[in-house]
Amino acid sequence: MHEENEDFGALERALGDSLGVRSAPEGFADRVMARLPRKPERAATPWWWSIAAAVLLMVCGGAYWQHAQQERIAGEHARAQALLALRLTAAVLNDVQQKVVVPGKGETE
Amino acid sequence: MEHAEFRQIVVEHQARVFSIAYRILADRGVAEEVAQDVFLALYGVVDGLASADHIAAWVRRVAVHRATDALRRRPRTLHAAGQLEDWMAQCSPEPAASAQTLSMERLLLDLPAMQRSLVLLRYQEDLTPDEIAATLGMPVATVKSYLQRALKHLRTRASETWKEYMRHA
Repeated sequence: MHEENEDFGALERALGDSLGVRSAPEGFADRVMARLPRKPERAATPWWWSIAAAVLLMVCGGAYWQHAQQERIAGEHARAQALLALRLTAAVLNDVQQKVVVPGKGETE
Repeated sequence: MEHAEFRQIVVEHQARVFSIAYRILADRGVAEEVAQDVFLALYGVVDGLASADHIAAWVRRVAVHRATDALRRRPRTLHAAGQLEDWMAQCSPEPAASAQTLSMERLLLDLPAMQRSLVLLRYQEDLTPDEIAATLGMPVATVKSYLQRALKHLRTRASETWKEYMRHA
């Protein structure tokens, strides 16, 4: 039994020593890579595509800026009108107040 | 995965995969076909493998399965003297293949395909019986039983070769 175990031990050592990996054949990796499915190539972007994109960006940006300016002007005009209306109202109210509440000149009902 | 990255994986594992296929099939040409097929299959799944260890386990398992399938489809025996000499001639071109290696490889061919596969995973890949069981999806007890049988068979068939090896060890 002991001898049998020794035999197996020696055989296992022999197997381990003898069965190192063998080298793959020369050029094996190249042949594998040559068989891989090709990835679809992305179509190259034309040179003028970047220029057209930049021009479009500038046009859109300019149109937005102009619109923003117009909004600002309209807003200021509306604000001026509102202030004028307030001044007029204040003047009318002042005038009414003068006529209604003046001590000694016509009793209020 | 990018081709450049995959190529590195091929280079890392090509010797292992080819060795498993070659030592199961004993035919250099068929072994290379099988080994290439293993990597082509790997390319389809590699993005789903979590780590380098997973890749190694995957290629071992698939190499064993594909080589044993190929052997089953193309059974061959090397007991006829002419075939054995042809086999020895085709596997000797590598200067690094020692006489002991060639002897052991010849002995392996006496084993049934499953025992041969387990011996390769145990002694070429240095896996424990538990690791072999996990790699192939087999019970550990079955792996140990097959390995025991394989060693007994090899010892019986190899007595002369083994004694020669021990004399020079």
